[in-house]
Amino acid sequence: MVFSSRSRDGFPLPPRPADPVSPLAVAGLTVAYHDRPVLWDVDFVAPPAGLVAVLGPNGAGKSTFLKAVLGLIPKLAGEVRFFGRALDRKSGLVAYVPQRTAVDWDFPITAVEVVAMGLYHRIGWLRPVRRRHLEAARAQLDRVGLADLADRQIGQLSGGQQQRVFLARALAQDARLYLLDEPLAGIDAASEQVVVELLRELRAAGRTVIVVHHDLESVPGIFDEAMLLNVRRIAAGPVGTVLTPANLARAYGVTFAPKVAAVVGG
Amino acid sequence: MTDLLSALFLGAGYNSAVATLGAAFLGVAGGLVGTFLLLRRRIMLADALSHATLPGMVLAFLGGLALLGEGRILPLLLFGAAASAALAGLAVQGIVANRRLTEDAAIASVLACFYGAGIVLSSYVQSLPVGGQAGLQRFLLGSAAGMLRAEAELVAASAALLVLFTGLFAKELRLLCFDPVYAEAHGWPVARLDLLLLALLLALLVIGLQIVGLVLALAVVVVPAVTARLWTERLGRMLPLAAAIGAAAGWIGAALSAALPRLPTGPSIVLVLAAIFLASLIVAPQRGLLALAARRRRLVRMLAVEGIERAGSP
Repeated sequence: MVFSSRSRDGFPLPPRPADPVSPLAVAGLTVAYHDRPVLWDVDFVAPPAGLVAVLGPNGAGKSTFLKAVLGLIPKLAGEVRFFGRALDRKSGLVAYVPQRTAVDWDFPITAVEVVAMGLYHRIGWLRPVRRRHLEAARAQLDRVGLADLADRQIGQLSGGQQQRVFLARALAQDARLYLLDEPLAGIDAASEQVVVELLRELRAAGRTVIVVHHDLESVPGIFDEAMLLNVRRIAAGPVGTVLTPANLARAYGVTFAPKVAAVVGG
Repeated sequence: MTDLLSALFLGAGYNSAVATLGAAFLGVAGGLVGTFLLLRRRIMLADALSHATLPGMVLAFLGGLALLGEGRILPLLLFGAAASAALAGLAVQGIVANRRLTEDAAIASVLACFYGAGIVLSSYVQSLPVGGQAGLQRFLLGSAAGMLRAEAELVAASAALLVLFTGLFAKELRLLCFDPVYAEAHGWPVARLDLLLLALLLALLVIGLQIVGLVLALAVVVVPAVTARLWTERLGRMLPLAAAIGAAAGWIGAALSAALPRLPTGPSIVLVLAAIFLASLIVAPQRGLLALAARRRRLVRMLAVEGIERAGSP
């Protein structure tokens, strides 16, 4: 695995040695749906702790990046290492939070039962979910401010509350690396505040959180690092060095209004 | 009427009693497996697979006739049924996995192909100058009354096994049905769990062939599950409820069929299921039509209380 400190077309990147025990190190990741390339030759190294945003326009391959590193969709080329080795999904080291729209919220299940799924790998095959597991799940729901709604059927929760249930399930797993697909999309301000607080808690606890995100303006206030994607990797590193007007123009194909450029520190 | 009562209380003869118990066990297994299939959104697979038992069964009949001189060998027929249904199930999975067709289109195409082949084969068998074709006919609509004791015991034992397996894997199947992407990302073998569900369905259909028949097998899988869904918002309650509904329908339906000799068992069970479903649709506490109408009325009354004029009123 070789991680160059320069992107292939000569744009300088922040120097980072190929860290063998980085939570997530990706080299040359290439993914295609049938004959259409979705990710092309993407390199990425996650910091040992901190919040990383994966940014880019619609169809840039942001969600695909998460799914491909987890092996949920096949890759054409490239290498992926979690903590220096191939992913053992059962280890519980890596927690994945899919997009909220990925499941049927009419499912006959309560919030606390969903959160308890984060404990299944510890409960193990064929063993039932016991009272103490549900109690542990309740504690995680309390962390996201939903203790009162633990026994509600999930369809009765708002979009933001559903997202917090998903996060509580990931928290129950107590992973080292968190991969979150659009956790801040389409949720209300109260839920957004809870989610951002949680992200900061995870960072303080020394975890790495990689977040697919769409709202450029909120990036500097939340994230330490960012990767800008548009099929290829446009830039990666500390937020200030990534969200430059030149990089944004290359990723989105348009020049941003002065307001956005100012907010993102361009 | 007295015939029906004595059949209901297992007093209408030994054969009728074992058939009634067998149908009740089948109902329990159908409710459990059907609940997971419904939540996995694969319920129509039950229809495709039950119809797909026909060509395998007829081929097994012909094979038995050619090799052993006798077509009506029950284990051979059931093996043939299971084999062709398994083939159909794998065909659906294969088509969907390669994203050639959407799941409903794949299921419909496979059903049409297999059932068509089965009908062609069985017309050929009808034209043969040998006896025993009637043995095939009873699998179309089911005939619990014609079951032998050993057959009924086999049904009961298999249904008990199905209940055991569904119970053992309840946690894994719940995860599979609710969030397969999450399950796969965290190391659960989603494809193999889907195969397990397929195998449970196959076993259910094969043991159900004699009782409900292949044309109406879908009802035993789908109706208890959708009816139970009307009554509860929790899977932990939906499973026993679906099992109970299936058991009741199997029991009452088989007794009805025993009391009215011309009524085949399959349609009889399905009619009882339909009655329970319709009643639930009307009176279920949250999702029922009456509850919905009552909530709507309350809402409209609130308009009047707050002095808001209703749209459309003069």
